Amino acid sequence: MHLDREARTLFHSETFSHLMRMKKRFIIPCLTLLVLFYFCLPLSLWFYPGPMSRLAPVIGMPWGWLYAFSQFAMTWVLGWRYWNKAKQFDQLVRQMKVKG
Amino acid sequence: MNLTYFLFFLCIVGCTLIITHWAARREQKTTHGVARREQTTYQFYTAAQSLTGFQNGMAIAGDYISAASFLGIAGAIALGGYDGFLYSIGFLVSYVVMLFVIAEPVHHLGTYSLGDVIAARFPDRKIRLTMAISAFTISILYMIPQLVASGLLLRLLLGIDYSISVLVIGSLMTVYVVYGGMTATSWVQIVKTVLLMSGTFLLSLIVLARFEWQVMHLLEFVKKGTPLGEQFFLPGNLFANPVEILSLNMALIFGTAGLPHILIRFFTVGNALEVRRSVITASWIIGLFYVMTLILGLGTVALVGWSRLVSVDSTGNLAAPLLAQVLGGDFLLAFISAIAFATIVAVVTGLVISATTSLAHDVYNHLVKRGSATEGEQLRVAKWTAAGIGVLATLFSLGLENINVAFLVSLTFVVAASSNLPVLLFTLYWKRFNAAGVMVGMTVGFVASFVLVLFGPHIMDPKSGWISRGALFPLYNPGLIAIPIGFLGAILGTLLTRKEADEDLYMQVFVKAQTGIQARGSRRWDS
Repeated sequence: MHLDREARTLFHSETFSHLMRMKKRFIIPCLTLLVLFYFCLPLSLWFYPGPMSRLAPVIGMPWGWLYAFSQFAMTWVLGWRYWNKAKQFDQLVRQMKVKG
Repeated sequence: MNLTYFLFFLCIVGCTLIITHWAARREQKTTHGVARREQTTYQFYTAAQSLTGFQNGMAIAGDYISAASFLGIAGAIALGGYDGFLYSIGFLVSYVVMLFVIAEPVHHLGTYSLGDVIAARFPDRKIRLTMAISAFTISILYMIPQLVASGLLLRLLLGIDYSISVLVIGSLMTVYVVYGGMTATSWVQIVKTVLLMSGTFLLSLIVLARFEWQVMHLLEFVKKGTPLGEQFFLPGNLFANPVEILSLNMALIFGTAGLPHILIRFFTVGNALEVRRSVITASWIIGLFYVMTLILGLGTVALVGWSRLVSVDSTGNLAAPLLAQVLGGDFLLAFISAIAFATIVAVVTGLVISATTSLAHDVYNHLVKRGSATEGEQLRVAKWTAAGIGVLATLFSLGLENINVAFLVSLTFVVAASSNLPVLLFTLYWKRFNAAGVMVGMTVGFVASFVLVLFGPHIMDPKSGWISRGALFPLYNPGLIAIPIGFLGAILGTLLTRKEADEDLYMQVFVKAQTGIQARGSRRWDS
């Protein structure tokens, strides 16, 4: 089928492979970090309730609260990083459109 | 009812009806400079993709922040301190998962519904039907507790009869969708977000001002206001079982990325950049909102006091209204109550349009008419379907006044995470995934969620359960078991059937999902 052959060409094109490599290189580590960081909060409350209730030095806030607030920061920082990185993805997509 | 309350409510109802009228007229005017006499399905389901990312982000926040978030989390913090705050984290972090792997592919592949996204790779009628059933069920399961809560809340706040409250909200949501479609729905949600953020910001400022902007001063009063004392700031007040926290966290982070009423909002913007802007805007609004609910929860304990809060309503849901009354008298209470009303209306309106899309677009147009229904016919059916769903949900909710349906909210997130998300992710990213995997994954995830809730402590409880005996499954939130079952079902369904995946179609769908480029013969990509 003409359409399939064309999809195959696009799929194997250098620009698309480059785009997917860039996406993987960014998304997989960030997503892994997000999931680990997110689930470590309930797990640390489960396994280390004592230390999580203790006050963090300098800030004077329990570690549990500090960890909870840091999840907000993580969400916004990762969103901001993706927003910037995605500009490069868009550039590659534009190249694919022009070449096509 | 007091006149101030009545005027605030009238104002909300009036404003939202004006929006609906404007939306209906706007859609009849023009799409791309071409005058039209009638609304089209494209306008009805997607607001003609006319929203900017920022507007859509506000609408997503309006669609997502329910009364459970506004009233429930402030109350949970006031009663349980740290544990109450834990709820908000899962609700927020889920937006990063959505941003990274779901939002843009869904926008590129779908037209009006989630069924379209899956059908791009698996154009099987059974699969579209299963997707439609799942989306419809999730929307209805979420809508009914919202409507029941609205009736109970308005009765508690304003003394309005339960049935009248449910009838008013049920009628409004139906009118918005039938006359204004997605445009009216979006603008009702945007207005709600503006009201909600202004209201919570105002309350937070007044709370902080009362303590001379000294957070430590506020915390001292919190310690005195709660019987928990120091323990208020430590974990373990609401969740005795740590596995329960883990399970809840799992359902929250993965459930959001499978909620159909949130995902169909990505069809209302024109390109991938606006999709990203939508998610990031929503995550900022939702995050800031939850930070403010923390101030409201703390302020309630410090200024209203734990014992008064519990004596008025033991669930803590009246924390924000009581705080408003203490801070600004009847006027502020009326304002906050009107915001709670707008919050519920905006959420249920989003759910009505989501349920309508799955029935009218997926079932009627694609399955009954095999995609050949005329524009007028599709629109007529969509409007009748919206009206039917509105009436049905209202009638159901009227009959559920004395039944605890709060568990349906957690069920919604678990079904979305264990049934929709695995199929969505594998359709987008797994080359070998096949039709059998879709059917097995969806069915197994769906059934596991229902069975585990049915045998869990929400339903089986010797004192207050629908079934008067001990629970066979110990967790209130079965995400920890149901979500892996959904994923495993989709994997095993694929691996154990010999049916080969269509590799060419996968490549075509994958390229389109990642770039928005559709293979289109010899024409240029940007033509």
